[in-house]
Amino acid sequence: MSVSISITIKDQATPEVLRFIAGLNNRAPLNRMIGNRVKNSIREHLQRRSLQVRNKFGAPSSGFWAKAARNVATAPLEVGNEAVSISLEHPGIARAFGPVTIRPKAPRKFLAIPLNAAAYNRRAYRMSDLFARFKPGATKGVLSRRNKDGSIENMYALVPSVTQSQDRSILPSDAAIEAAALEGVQDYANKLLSASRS
Amino acid sequence: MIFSGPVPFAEAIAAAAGKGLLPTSLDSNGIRQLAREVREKSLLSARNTHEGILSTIRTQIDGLLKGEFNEATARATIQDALDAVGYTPEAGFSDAEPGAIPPAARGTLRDLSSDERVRLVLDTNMAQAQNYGFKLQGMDPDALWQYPAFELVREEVREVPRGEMPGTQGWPERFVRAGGRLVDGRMIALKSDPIWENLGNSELFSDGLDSSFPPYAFNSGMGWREVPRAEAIELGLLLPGESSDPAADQTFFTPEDEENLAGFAPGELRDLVAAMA
Repeated sequence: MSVSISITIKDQATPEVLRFIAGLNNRAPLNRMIGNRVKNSIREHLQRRSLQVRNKFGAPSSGFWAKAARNVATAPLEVGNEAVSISLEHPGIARAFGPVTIRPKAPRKFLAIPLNAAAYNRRAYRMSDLFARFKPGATKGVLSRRNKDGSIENMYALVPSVTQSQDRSILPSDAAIEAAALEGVQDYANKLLSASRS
Repeated sequence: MIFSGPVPFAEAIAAAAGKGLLPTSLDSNGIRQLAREVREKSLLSARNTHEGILSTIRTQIDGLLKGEFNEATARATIQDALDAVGYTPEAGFSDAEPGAIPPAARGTLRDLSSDERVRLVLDTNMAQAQNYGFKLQGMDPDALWQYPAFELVREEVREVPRGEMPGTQGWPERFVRAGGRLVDGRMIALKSDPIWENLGNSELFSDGLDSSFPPYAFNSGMGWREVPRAEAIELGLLLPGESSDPAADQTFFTPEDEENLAGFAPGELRDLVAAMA
C-alpha cells in the first residue's frame, strides 16, 4: 500500500522562519530541501528500527525495515509552491497511520501465520510435509508436521484475516519530522546566503 | 505543520501530474529502469544459464521493488519456476549440456533453488537497485548541497559481522584498504570521493561486487547514511561554502535561487540565518 506525507510550514513557525519564507518569490526550491530532510529523517529512523526490532522467534531477520529504509531513499517528492509530499511505497508503513487488515488473495481462504523460526519468512506451500488441522466448526486451523519422533509440531496458524494495530513508532514522531522540516528551511536559507556571497 | 494521513498513491501522483508539479529529478520508475543495468553484473549470472529462470528472477525483483508482493512470495515463485524446468541441485537443468553446471549439495548456497541462494539473489539485487537510485538522487544539486557526503553504516543485524571471524576484515579495515580515511573512526567521505567506487573492488576483496554503491559485498548488511553539510564541515570534509563537486558548481545556484535572493534587503538574509540557527 502507498501512503503520502504532506508537509507545509504553518503559522506556528518562528517569526524568522515565516519572514524568510515570505521573502521567497518561488518556494519550490525550499520545499524540495524540506522534502529531502524529511525523507532522510524517515530513512534513518527506519534504519535504526531495522537494528532494534527482532522477530519474536529469534529467526534470521528478513531485512524488512532495512528494505523499507532503502525504499524511502528513492521515494518520489511532489514539490509545489505551498507544500511538499513524500509518497511512501512499502508494506508496513501504512500501519503508522492506522490499523491494517490483511486478507488472503483469492482463491485462498486463509493466511498462514508462522508459529516458529523454521516457518518464519517461508511460504507454507513450499514445505512439503505439512497437513492442515481444523477443529469441527472452527474458522481457524493450523498447518502441522510430524517430527521424526512422532510428535506433531504446529508450523503455521491458518486464519481468515489478520488486523495489525496502528504503530505510530514506525515513522518518526511529529516533533522529529517538524524538526527535520525546519532543518530544510535552514539548509535553503544557508544556500541562498552562500549564493549572495559568491 | 501539517502531517496528514495517507493519500492513495495513484491519486496523489495523478493530482501532481495535473498540476505540473512532478519533480524534475528521476521518479522511482525511472530509477528502476536505470538500475536494471546493474543487475546484469550480479549474482544472477553465476551458475545460472537458464534464460527463463533469469527472466523470472528479473520479474520478481521488479515486483518486489514496486511492492507488489513480499519476498517470501517472490522466493517461492522462483523456486516453483526451477521445479517446473526440472532443475535439481544434483543434475542442474535438464536441458543444459552435461556438466554445464557443477552439481551442488541440496540446500546449500550453490543449490540455485535453496532458500539461502534465492534469498541472497533477491536481497542483493534489490539492495543494489535501491542504492543505485539513492546514489543518483544523492547527486541531484540540491541533495548534494544539503548532503555532500555519505557514511557507510550498518542497517541490518548480522550474527557474525565481517571482521569477527578469524581471517576476515571488518568494514573499517576494508574502508582503509580501499583508500578511505576514517573520520573519528567513522567511514565517511564526500560523495565524489573515489572510495565509493573502490570499496566493492573484487580485486581487493574476493567477495566484492564491483559496484559503486552498497551492498559492496554479498550479505554485508551495510548501507549508506547521507551526511548533512554542517556535519561534513565540522568533520573537516569541506570548508564552509566549498563545493563538494567542482562540476556541480555550475548548477548549484539556480535561476530560482537568484529570483529568491531578490526578495531580501542587504544584510537581511544574513540576520535571518543567524536568528534561525
